[in-house]
Amino acid sequence: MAPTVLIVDDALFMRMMIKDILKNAGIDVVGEAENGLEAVDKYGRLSPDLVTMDIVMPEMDGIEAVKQILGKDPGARIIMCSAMGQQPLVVEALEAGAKDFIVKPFQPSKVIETVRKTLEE
Amino acid sequence: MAEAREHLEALNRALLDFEKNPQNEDLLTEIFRSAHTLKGMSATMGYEGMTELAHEMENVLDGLRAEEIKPAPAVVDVLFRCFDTLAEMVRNIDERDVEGVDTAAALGEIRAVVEPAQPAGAPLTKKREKPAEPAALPLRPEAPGAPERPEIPQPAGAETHPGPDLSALLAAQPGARAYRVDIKLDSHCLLKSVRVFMVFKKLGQLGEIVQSEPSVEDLEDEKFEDQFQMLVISRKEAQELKSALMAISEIEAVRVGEVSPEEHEEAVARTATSPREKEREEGPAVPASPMKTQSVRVNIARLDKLMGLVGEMVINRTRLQEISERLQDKDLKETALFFARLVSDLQDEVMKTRMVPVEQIFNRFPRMVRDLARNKGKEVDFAIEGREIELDRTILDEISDPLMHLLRNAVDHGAEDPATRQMLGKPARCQISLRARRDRDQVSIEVSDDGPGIDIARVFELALQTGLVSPEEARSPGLDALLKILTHPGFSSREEVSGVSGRGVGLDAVKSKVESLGGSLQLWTEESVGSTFAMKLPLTLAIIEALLVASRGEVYALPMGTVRETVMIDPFSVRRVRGREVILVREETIPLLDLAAMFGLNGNGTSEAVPVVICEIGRRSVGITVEELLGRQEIVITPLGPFLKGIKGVSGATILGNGQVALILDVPSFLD
Repeated sequence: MAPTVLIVDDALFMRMMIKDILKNAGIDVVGEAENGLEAVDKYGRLSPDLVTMDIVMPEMDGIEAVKQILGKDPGARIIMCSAMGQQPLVVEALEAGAKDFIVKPFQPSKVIETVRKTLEE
Repeated sequence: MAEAREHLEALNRALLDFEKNPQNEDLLTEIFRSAHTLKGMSATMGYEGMTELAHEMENVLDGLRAEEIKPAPAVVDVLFRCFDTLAEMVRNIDERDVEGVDTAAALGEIRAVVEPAQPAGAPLTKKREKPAEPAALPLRPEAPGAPERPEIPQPAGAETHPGPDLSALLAAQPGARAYRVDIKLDSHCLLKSVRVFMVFKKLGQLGEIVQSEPSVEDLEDEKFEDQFQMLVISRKEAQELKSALMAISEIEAVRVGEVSPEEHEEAVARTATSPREKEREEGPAVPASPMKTQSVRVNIARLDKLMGLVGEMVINRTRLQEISERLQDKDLKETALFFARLVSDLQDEVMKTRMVPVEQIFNRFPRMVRDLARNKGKEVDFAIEGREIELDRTILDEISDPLMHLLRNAVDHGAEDPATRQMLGKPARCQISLRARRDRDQVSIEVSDDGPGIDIARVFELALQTGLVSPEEARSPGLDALLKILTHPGFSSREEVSGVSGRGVGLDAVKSKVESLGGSLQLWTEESVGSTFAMKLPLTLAIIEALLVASRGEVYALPMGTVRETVMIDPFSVRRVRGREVILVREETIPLLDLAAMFGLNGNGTSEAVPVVICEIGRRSVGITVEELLGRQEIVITPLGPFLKGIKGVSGATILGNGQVALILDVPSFLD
């Protein structure tokens, strides 16, 4: 069975881009969320194998969402989507329990490698 | 002076241990060292009385070390007396710059101990024979009042080798080996510092990183190409470390090689010759070595100021977030979010600098308990746990007296005399313990004894006689009600007079002190098993998380620590029981208070559902009707001025992001 992914990003363009990359690699995108609140809610309902999580979003930021998702499911695999210059935020997310991170602008090969590696763990 | 006090503290501690364990030479050496340092300090500063007394103490200690004097209890008592005299002198010097104590009595006593052990007429010669004793020179001439400690040996090689002492570190962890770990990152790796963080985190789980090259600082600032090196101590195999590291993304290569302490020494010696390398090595490498941490003394007033400034920043952070929320500008939002995290980190750090380990006050208690028990003819073993737990300096200072009360009560009432204990089949020595524990964002400090427990029935009987409880309440005596009686201001003295074996002295003071600090007092007791009093205290005073609520246009803050939940209540479901409004939440009857009515404002008489905040302290709850829940926020507590101080129900005020003032509600007072 193909692994399932939930994409969380407030920008539609970013969501589409990640979705394309993952689809080409045979990974099933089962849901999308525009902010942390929606992410927490959808994670609970879809239980995906992996989440890609943007950091800066309205309503609830990605770091809070990581904390809440891991609070409910300590086994959740979450990859942070970061921009350059956001080191402290990424570190905070990793400390909160996120597994890995990818940096925008995304290189398809890197995204797939990171997702695969995280799924294997 | 602070230095002198530290030495006194050390001296006191060592003396207490020595009393229990008179064969321990290390302790004697430590006592000697403290006395000696005090002598040196006082001589340099010209305090002759202190010098003389400390000198005589040295003689006795010397005699003990040479086994010319037997460590009889009387000798230890004399040492304690000398210590008291020294402590008093230090206090006087601190306050009035004079010694102000007649040392004749103490000197007489201590000389009496020394003399039989030495040939008459030459009481001091023994000491003088020692070659080149630097009696008065442990101070550097250019730094009066900031004495070096020449007696404390520096960790081996601390001066000559900039790297950590690997053999010592390995000796401290049996079964561990040292590895040199080289990492090469993918050349296209972005956010290198975060990868480094992941490597550190992983290695931290598997072992201990004792050194890195480049320094942690440079790694954080991404001042490196794509390679770095670490010295790691771990019990795992090299292969295990390697595969764990390879599992991290964007890591091109990992090399793990075992190093022996000798090889490490050599490598360190080599790098030490190159000044540039040396400079790097001395950077703030990962703090994992058992060496003494470096410290700076800071005036507490300065820390308070710093805390105040951070408080202002916290207020403005909230304001900034509100603005960025309104303007919906992505860049501003990102900056505001980043700024908010920086302020949080800053706040954490400043808070940490104000934290001191509880041992700073705990260390006085063994002596106090010992003296008290001796006075009362009781045999007590006193144990302390959790000395290392940290609390805000201000809180720690405040709880010293309440703790003293609780301990005194424990010795007075919580310990039977040895004969009684034997009759009851208990060990002759009573166990009294003082425990500090961290409990999420609270610290719990407990005083326990294994004494007779509180005679609950008797206390309730007395309370009934004095009208403190109704006959109805007396029928179901519970611990909460018991504590309420015991902490009633009028109860304690009465109880003393009637000679009931229970508690009371100053318990009301203990309770009000703990509650004024935002904490709570709890009690557990069982007949013939013992009693425990627990103080639950917040970690810090200045900044707390609060639930903001509105009522009649005013904003109020409820400390999150007291908030259990919020519910919506239909006004028609409010019932009246014995003249009080109550609500039913999940089969639990909770008394209800209207916030507006409490401050003399008219309720709005709505018939729609209203929010109720349910607050809980210990196991007592109260519901507070508000008009609107505004949300959670960190607030900075500002004490009320003298005019507002006495107002019931309010413990302080805070300034909100928009400049509005909100009163902080004093939840404990609502429960009474």
